Amino acid sequence: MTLRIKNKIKENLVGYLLILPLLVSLTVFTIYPLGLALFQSFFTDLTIKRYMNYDWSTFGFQNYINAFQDEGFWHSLRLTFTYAGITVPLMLTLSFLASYALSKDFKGARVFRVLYYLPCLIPGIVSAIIYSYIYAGEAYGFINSLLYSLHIRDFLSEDAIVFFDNELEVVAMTSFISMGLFGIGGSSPFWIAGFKAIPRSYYEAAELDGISKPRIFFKITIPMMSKYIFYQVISAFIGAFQIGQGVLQYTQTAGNGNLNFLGLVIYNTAEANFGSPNIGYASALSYILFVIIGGLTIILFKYNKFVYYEGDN
Amino acid sequence: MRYISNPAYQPKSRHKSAFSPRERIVFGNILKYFLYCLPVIFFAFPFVVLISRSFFSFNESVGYTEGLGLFPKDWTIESYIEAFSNEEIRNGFLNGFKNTMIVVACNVIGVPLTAFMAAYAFTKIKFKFRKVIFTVALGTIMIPGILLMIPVYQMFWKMGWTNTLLPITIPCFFGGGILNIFMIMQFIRSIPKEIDEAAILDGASLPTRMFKLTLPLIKPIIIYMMVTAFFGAWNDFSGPLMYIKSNASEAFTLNLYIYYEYLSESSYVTARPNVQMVFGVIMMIPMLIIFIFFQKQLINGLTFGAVKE
Repeated sequence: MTLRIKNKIKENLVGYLLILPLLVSLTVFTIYPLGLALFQSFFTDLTIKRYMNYDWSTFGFQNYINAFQDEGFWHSLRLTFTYAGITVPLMLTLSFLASYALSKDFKGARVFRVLYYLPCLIPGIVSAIIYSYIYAGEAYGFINSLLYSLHIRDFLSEDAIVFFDNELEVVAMTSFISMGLFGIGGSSPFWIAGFKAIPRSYYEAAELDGISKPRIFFKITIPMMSKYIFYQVISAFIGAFQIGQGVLQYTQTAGNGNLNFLGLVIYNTAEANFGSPNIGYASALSYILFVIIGGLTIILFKYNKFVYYEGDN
Repeated sequence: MRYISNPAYQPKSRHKSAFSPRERIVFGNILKYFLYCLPVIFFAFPFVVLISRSFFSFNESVGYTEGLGLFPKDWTIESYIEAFSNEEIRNGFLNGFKNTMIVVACNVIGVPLTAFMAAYAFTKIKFKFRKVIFTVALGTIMIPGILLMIPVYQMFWKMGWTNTLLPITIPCFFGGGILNIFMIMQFIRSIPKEIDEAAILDGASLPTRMFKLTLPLIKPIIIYMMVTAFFGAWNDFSGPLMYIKSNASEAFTLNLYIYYEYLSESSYVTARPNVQMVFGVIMMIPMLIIFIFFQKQLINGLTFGAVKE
């Protein structure tokens, strides 16, 4: 009896010892900051100091009320939803199809896998310069010089087409989303691994039965990939909603405000070494973003009837 | 007559095509490779721009008015010479490289190690509240990064860690990320239980079972994690940018050094696109080599875990 209790204690001790790093990061780097941000989101006019003094007379929901009354907030929210709503399905579909093609074993497949992945190997800071050149809104920009040779110009100004900084939201958004297409190959190792994990026997059986290729794709490949798709949808949505300061690498004006996503608004509010007096407001906005992302994730988890787990019956 | 009455029999059809079956396979292959190559034009484009612009002469690279071609009129390596001509730049670059290697080493060792420890505990050891802890940890993936950024920055600032490498190295040794833990758990679950039970009967201690028995069996996923940790650390820009300011050049990582020296608004070579691209090429080489070298592991690493779940 005592031995059993002793073993039990020992097991608990060892377990907690092994997850100690995780527990520390959970409490110190996640839960404590989460609480601090929530606390600070209730104060207005907050500046970071070595010893924070909180002005309790400003304590309240003022930051949240201000956010909901601010037109800029609703605008940025709409932009964020538009961006996520377009980019997630578009990117997922294209990267899924490209990776499906790459997952086949043929001569040179490995070379193509590297080539499709190439844009993701360019360091972020440098790729920003390259894309700025490709999308430059002047005659030297690559796309514009291509369009010039086809005699296509901006039909309003008769000049080079301005992409990111265009006054039309459609153009700015389309340009920004189209730039993301270079990153399609980024998730290909993940997808290809999934395609290769589908047992060959399934395909052989289907082929013996004379089932057409599109039908095999929709009835075997996609269902067998469903847990990969689900994982990608979740992480892509979480990622897309956080789009923020990255925009500044391409357009300092956030596309004339047409690319002023919620993440960027938060970043700008809290910027300048986080020394601006709006830490509270930035925290409140981040909490709103957190609620949106959390809500969507929970909805996705709750209503997925689509994912097929083997041996789950 | 019976041939005509049988609609399924069409003797001419085999000879309708002008090509023999062999030729048809060849043409099919050409078409296939053509279709595979089309997107390559698109995907390789930023890469081609990167390489070719690093070989522009300075005059040509800023000659925007005449319009820039994709390739230089005269290929020259003057930008490469210029990039490393002066000793200050060389020293700054070496210092940045050293710091980046420190950060990379911490990531490549710390992340898989602590993730493995936690994953082993969650799968093999029945301690109290493990399900609750795991669920809470998994829930943290929904937290937007920027929400934690503000308070965590305050924390590091108060501890005096800003403008040092500590904020981007020390956290590597804490937990390794719940998604990594989750992935390793899938792998450990796929190892037959009998192996572990036999080891226990033989009196193998826990560290032996962990590091001598389990770890070699899940090597693919560990390698995968090391590669992704390397990519992440090598490419990380926003992390160092947040914690290390422009006056703390001792703690610059390579990315930060290049940014402050060559890419930010105030740097003296902002108007030298050709030199900028040289650093892009240099930064890309290690990643390219590792990706090609570990390409098989990158795919296998994930596959193994997916087969059995």
